[in-house]
Amino acid sequence: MSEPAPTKPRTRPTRTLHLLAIQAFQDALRSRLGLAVAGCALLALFFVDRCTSLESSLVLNGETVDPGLSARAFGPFLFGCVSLFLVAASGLVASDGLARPVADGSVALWLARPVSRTVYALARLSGTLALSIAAGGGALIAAAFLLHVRRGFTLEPALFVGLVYAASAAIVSALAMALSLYVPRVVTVFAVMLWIQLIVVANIAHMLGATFRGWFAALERWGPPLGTALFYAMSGWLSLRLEVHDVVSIVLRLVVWIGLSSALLVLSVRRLELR
Amino acid sequence: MIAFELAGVSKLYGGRRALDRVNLAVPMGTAVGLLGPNGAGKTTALRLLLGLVRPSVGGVRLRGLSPADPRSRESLGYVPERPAFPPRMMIRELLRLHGGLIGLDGDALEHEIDARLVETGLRERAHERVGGMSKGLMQRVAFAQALLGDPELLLLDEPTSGLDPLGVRDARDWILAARQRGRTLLVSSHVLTEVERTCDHVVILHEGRIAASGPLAEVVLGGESLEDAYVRIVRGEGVARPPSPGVRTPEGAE
Repeated sequence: MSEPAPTKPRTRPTRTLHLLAIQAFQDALRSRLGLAVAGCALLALFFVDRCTSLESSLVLNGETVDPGLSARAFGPFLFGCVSLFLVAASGLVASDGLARPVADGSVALWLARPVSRTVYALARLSGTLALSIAAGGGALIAAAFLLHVRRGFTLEPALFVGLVYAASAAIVSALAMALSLYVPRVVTVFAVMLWIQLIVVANIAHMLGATFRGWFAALERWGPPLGTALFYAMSGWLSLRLEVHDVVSIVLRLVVWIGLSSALLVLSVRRLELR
Repeated sequence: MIAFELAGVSKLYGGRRALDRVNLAVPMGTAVGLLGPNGAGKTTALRLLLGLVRPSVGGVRLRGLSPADPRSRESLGYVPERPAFPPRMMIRELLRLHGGLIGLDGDALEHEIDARLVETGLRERAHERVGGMSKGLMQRVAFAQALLGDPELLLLDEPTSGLDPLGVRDARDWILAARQRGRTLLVSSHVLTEVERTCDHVVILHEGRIAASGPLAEVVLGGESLEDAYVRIVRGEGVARPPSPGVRTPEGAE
């Protein structure tokens, strides 16, 4: 085999990543799914606005519940649901972020440049994730503001929920992107929705004292702790006392899952045969 | 210096053998026409060189490096058979990104983009979106991005496909200009007359194997056209492969 030819100064991978991530962001922004995620964020915000503007007059078993109590329970529930909805929306955008350039063949022209597949995969993930987090983060900030102004909720837990949302969106987006290379987009979207629901149900049921066996127990114990982390993030609103080691454990699991899901995506792209 | 090399390369897609023990080494500065019937393995050979697919058996080197190494593609231009670009990007925006990926920036990048837009007749369309363009215009955009930075190696897959007669002539001029600048060319094509005009060497693939290779003058026997030679070789009426100082297929390749 021949000796290497002299090469020009190499384009820095960080610059390549930056350029391609911006392109992926613009690509997602201009796509229908970009509009869809913006719509999801607006819908979530509209939902929060309507819910927080209602005067509480909840009647249970013929008795009127203390409006303050129902608001304290309803606020976190509402914020948690909106956060999970936006995590699912990030999976929707990601399901298209890599599958489309592969399907239409434009990926071949990017990879014909001095671009490694690792950088390409991470750039597509970063670009689509940036759009999701911009839309979702904006909706969460606005929702937190409404809860604060109208219901007197403190802002600190909302900040933690925002961080958990960003971490969860990163995990879900990377896994959705990897899966989209093997199955049609509609299957990816349904799989992501189902998977998020299973994990959240398992996490919350476990926190409420339920015990599981088999794969469901493994999912709760070793899967990405989307529900648990969300619950912990809202502990300030729920008056929960958390042990430091529980919090550290959940943060570590989130970090490990961000790494694992990104690695799975990179591995999938590196193995991809582009006929 | 070898520009690219396929050493004992076979490529299987499922049970189908797209390439079968292909040996090919092309020196820098050579213009090679890659010919063969549909399904002969031409596009697969190009995609192997770009690292888009991996060989099932054998080794591939691009400028002495594995195609998995991004540095192997630092001075490479590629025109695919069916160019596809993000449809909502404007032509100038697309070229700016491709230029950035090869290390150009600032005024040098803008100057280079202007030059390529003028060369490919796209200057007036620089701010149009790529989506919805005709096949011929897409092919011009593909050439514009491939020629950015005057790469040492050009891989062209059916470069005149979809072009009108004026476009074909323009494409031929761009290819000949690159050849005159001493660039290495690999042109996969069904249009034998274009290959005859633009390349000095040919490789004829048939059923995944190299059926003939060498300088054009040696593959084409006295008095016959490249088309006659092609038909003769593909139909198995061929003569022994002529020795070639430029494009070599080591013993045992066929």
